[in-house]
Amino acid sequence: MSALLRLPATRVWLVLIAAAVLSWTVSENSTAVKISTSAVVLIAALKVRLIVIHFMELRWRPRPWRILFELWTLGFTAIILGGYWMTEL
Amino acid sequence: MRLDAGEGVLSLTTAPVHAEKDRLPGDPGVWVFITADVFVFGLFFLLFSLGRVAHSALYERSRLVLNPALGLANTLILLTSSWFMVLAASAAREGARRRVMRNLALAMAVGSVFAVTKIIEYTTKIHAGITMLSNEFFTYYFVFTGVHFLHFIIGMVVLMICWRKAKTQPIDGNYVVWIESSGCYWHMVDLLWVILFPMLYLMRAT
Repeated sequence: MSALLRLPATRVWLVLIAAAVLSWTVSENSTAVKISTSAVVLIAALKVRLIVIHFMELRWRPRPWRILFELWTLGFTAIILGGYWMTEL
Repeated sequence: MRLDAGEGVLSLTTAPVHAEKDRLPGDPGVWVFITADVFVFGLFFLLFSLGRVAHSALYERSRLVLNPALGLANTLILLTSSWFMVLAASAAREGARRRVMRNLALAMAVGSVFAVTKIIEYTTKIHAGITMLSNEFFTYYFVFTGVHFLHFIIGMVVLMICWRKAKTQPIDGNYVVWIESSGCYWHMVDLLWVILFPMLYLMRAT
């Protein structure tokens, strides 16, 4: 069990689980709605990066693929957050 | 200093490590498919955002009908299933057949709960009279989560094939390519849900 906990994949999984629960808690309980919703989207972007880099193993892989997925993450974050702030302003 | 996996450095002791690190995990064709797929979902996110800008009150009213606890449960299920898949691929590289089969079985067992919660969610909505024709939000909700669910079903079938291959075939280089390709696809299913969940369930207007 302790060997399993020492694995990098296990640590990444624990961070992802904690981030998912944090997103839900922040969204349910916060009174600063705009800030908390933006934080939820940013946490999702962070989770996507962790999955791409560690689970899909793009960390050390051919650079163009890593750049492509980083740009995609940046793109969807901008689309969702941009739309959200345009609506709420 | 960065070493390349070119011919000139293959004689160095570190070369195999760098050669390993310079290749994509799995089959490159699968990566082309994954890339195309995530960009299609990018278009879905754009459509949803534009719709939300145009009809923010409708989107917020509709969002409140969704059950975020089920959305969170689905996130935890897919993340955990993905983790078992990483462990299975890692075991395959070590040639550890029993560990490969055990982790694949766990990935499938945990993953299958996603189907249960999703079916509960869909039937609850339909019984409440909510369908994809109810309004624009629910059209997107059913289409996006439906397309994602189709990806999930394909992923489960692929995991079953991986498990079957692990049982009957040698755990060699070919198998590693198979399980890495399948793993990357399965992680894509996971990461798309990681975005769909906050976008559909958690983006509060007030």
